Amino acid sequence: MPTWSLSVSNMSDSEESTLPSMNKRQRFSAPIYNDRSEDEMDDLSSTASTLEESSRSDTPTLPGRRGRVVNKPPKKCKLQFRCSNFLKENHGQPIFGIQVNLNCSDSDPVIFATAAHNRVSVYECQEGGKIKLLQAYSDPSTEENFYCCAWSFNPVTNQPILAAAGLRGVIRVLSLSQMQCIKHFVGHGNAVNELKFHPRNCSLLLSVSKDHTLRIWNVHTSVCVLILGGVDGHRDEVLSADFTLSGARLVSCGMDHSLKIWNLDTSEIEDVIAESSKFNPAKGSKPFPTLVNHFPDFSTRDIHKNYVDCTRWLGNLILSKSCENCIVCWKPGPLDADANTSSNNNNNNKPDDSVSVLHRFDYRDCEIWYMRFCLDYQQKMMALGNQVGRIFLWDLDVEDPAQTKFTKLMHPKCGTAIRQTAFSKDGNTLLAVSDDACIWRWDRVK
Amino acid sequence: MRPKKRPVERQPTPEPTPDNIEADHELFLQAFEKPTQIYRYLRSRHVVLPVFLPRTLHYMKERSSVTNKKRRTFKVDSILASVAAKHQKDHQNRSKQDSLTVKFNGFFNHDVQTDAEHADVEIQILKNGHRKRKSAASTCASQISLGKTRIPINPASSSSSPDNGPMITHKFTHTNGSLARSAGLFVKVTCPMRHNLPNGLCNGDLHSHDEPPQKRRKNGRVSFHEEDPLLFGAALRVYDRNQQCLLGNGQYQVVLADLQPLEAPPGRAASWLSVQDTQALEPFEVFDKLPTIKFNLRWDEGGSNSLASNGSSSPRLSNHLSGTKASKLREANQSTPRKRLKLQYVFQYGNGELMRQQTEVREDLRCPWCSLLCPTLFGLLKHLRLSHPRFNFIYVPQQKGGQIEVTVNDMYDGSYIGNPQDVHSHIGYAFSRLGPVRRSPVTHVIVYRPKRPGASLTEFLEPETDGTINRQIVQGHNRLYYHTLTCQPMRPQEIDDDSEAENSPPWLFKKTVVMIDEFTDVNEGEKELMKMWNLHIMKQDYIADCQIPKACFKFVEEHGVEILEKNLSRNFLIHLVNLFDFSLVRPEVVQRAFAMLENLRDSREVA
Repeated sequence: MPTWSLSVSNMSDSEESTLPSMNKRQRFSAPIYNDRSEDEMDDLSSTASTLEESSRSDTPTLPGRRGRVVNKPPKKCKLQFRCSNFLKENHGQPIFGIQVNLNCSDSDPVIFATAAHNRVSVYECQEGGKIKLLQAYSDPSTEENFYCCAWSFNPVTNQPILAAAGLRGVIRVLSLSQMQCIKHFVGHGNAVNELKFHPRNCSLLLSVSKDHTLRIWNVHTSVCVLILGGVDGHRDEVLSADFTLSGARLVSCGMDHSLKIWNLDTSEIEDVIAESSKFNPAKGSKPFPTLVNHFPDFSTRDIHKNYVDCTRWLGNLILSKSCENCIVCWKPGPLDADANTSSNNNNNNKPDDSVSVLHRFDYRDCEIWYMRFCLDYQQKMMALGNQVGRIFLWDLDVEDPAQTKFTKLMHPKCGTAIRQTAFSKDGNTLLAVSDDACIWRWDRVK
Repeated sequence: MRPKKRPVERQPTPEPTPDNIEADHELFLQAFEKPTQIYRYLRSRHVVLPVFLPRTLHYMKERSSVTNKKRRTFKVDSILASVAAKHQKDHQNRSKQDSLTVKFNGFFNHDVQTDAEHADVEIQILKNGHRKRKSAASTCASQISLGKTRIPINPASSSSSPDNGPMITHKFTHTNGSLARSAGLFVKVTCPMRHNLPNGLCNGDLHSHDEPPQKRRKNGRVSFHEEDPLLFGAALRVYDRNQQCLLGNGQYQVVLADLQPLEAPPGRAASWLSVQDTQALEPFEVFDKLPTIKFNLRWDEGGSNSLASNGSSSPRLSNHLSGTKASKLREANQSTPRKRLKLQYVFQYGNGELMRQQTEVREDLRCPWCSLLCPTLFGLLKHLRLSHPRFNFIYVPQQKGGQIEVTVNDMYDGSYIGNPQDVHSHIGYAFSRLGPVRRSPVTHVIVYRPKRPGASLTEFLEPETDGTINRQIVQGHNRLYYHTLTCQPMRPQEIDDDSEAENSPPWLFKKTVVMIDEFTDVNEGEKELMKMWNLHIMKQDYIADCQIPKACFKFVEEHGVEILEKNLSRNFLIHLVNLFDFSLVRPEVVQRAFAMLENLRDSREVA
């Protein structure tokens, strides 16, 4: 049985805490840019070189799009954040995942969870930059290495639940009120790279795995509802996926350089989802008839030329990134076509797999994989960390995408790769986790 | 590993050189080390966390100290009657008072140099009561003084005044309330000392007579206060736990032990002292050399009854059995005539050509791997075969004991042989801490009483047969299975449901259609017919060329209308001709199949 243990990480409420020691597993020589101006973007040649191979962050070297210089944003971005605190978890291992609980009202404190090593920790952001450790869950297996976590809640009690998964491919469902692992799902043949809950159905959990498939589970009846993968599915590890706001479609991406869109609003899938919520394994001797969908509704390999390690919906547009120092905003089909029908309108012969790229958000020093960007709840800001500890922050709340500007957040003590970032629901706090087991808190300056 | 090994070569082999022996030992280890390690580990695990008790096994019945004989006749109502009967018996016993009279003849100690003519003697009674449900100290001892008197030291004749000598009497009562109460007499003699003589001539120091006093002083057995009298004592058991009187009437001569308080020399921590070596003294010499006390003991009234039962022992004999030393002698005497059992373990190993063996002789029935003491040879052999299946055991009877041939079982099947349902039980949520939950239904064998043949050693004379090895009581799959599609563990009730029947899964139909669509050098009509034909072949599971004619007719039957509707009859004809070109169908098949389609068209037009 997994046990809950409250272990206090090396906690500091102030910035005076000791400089994080250099991680032994650090994979990059960290170039120091202290002598450069902050917003300098015209020099892309001084990128760091990969030192190790066969690590989680290793990417096949690729010339990429060099020299594609984007116009320097004319004005300073109006978003200003200040680093108010950072703390270090005592395991010293990279923190791969951070998620803020968004299933709360605006008055509730900001609760977030981190996934690292064999541990999932739950923190609360308090006034004055303080971060309080609430709970820490430690997996019984010391070989577990959690990569990701996701928040949901119990529809009956409205108590928050947290799902976490990682290296072993076992999805743990933790109940924060019971301080226990209440369920676990076995089935993935390999590591789980990302977890997402359905935006409208709090029971449906999407898991994205190294075994080339995506699965949708019903957390409350403990069944595997749907498997997305097969003949036309991903041909390599799936790294990331995201639901649309309505939950009717999802986009997935992976190591096969492809992005695939799966429609979930077909009658077949809706039926099986409805059936899953009524399924009672104790009654009857038949296993749940898990549906397998081998055919995505849209698939492209034209956006990226390397591992696609993060993707998000922005309305009907898709943001995705690879290890090419660029987040691409694109949409399937031609630019003028209606986004919802683009994949269906001419499917009588062959599906249209054309894409239209709307914008590229360029940045630098982010050429390792498993680096995730995030959007805030209002989808007005986007944040991404890079491999030398900087955070790029884009203001998406502009009329013309060409006008988007970014701020680069940097802290002298932050020099290792920032794996994932997360905004609080109100967008006033930005949290980031790095490879040296640190959690960074940035508060918005009004 | 085992302590003693005597390598014995079965065949005449070259001289055993050290190298040879080492290589031989290496081979021995190679064969037996791994299973032995496993069984040693299991043994220590069993000690810490026993899965079962050996005494519950049918071949280990003798290990059980409690018999179940009374169970058959037991009735709850009889408890009161039996308790009442017992109580009454106790009551009767209590009314019978045994009075003990001890008449002292004198205190004999030839080593003691004293002027005093009389020594004080005190008799105490020690009672050990065993009480149930007491705290850790289950025995409570009480000490009651029966009386004190003066006895002469070293009287001229031991039998001078037996009648009018000092005497102490005591009335023993059988008190109830405590179970299994044993009682003992403790004789304490206080001998006053003369002042200016080297004292401390205690027992045990006899053979160090000639040592200078200083040295004796050193060993800490000397009283530093010369004024102190010498204390001697001896204990005699009167009643044992079963209320049997061990002390009969008669004259006793009891060896007294020195009761001088042991004063540890300063600066030395208390440590264990070895017990005095008693071997130096012959059994009867004891009475001449050590201080003794002589007395007559007589039971009056009811005491004689219980005496009669074991009155066979002569007074003189019971004299010998007094004190701690005597009891030691008794133990030594008893152990000698025991029947020796010799069990020879022959460990056989090596490859087929050259078999080697090592023998190990054991004299008890302990299992060499788990040191479980088996009550019988049958039990031991049964235990070896059932608990150590990684070895083969063959019993060879011999004159004394027997020989057990041990070989490594190459056929050992290490797979799970427990209840197959247990491997699934984790899928259920039974014994959850979150309250009662439904668990997966499983079958457990609770009682299993097969007909067993009587305990006979003959079954161990030959190797085990397949029927006896790894016999499962509950039939079923002894491993956990997973669904191929979802990779999720299969529950026991799902095991009969074949979820893997996927000769032609739906996705393959879809993929075929998609792939045909992707052809660029085929026109739309051909594509449609190819899709229909391929799906038809897939769904009907045609596998051989000879089935093609049948497939053609069936295709027309099932898809004829669709062919006509989509206006594909010409494409179909070309397809049939194509089949003929590849020698898959004969011309008449082409004709007949197309005729069927024509007929269908005609009938539709009529309708």
